[in-house]
Amino acid sequence: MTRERATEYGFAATHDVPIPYLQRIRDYYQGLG
Amino acid sequence: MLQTLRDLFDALLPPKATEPPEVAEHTLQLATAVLLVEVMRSDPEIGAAERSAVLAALRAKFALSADEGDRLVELADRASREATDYFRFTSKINESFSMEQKVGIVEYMWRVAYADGTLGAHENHLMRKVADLLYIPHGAYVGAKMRAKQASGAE
Repeated sequence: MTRERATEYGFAATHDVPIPYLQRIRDYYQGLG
Repeated sequence: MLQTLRDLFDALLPPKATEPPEVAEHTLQLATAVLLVEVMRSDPEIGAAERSAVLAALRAKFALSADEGDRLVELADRASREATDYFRFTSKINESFSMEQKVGIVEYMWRVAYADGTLGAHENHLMRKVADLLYIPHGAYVGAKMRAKQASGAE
């Protein structure tokens, strides 16, 4: 389904996904070592 | 229009009245297990001692068999990897557990954190965050930490 069609039918846009906050925090602390 | 909005809210809210007790109990076990697994996963490498501490905590808290404990940890690990926040788990615990029981969970989490003998920065961050979400008073939080630290023999 194209992005225009998805919007027309009320579906979420392709970029509208859960933001991985917990993974970001994990990566930050693992980056600190 | 109103019916559509009502349907939307019904879909978002948990079906409390119709939820069988065993499903609610399983949800609570999974929520607790996810918090323990999150502590276990805070270290870059998961040690056998931490995994044993998670299993021991779940078996003590919910009287599970070894096999049930293993399956619960496996499920919790999957849920933990897919989660984007802790609230969905802590809210279930807040709904069902007394303050004393919640302090017990925090103590089990500290035991997992101290299972490898050291406390990492991420573990410290996670403990503070979850204790806040569970509305644990600071004194009880520190008390649980001291008991777990003493039990683990960490310096």
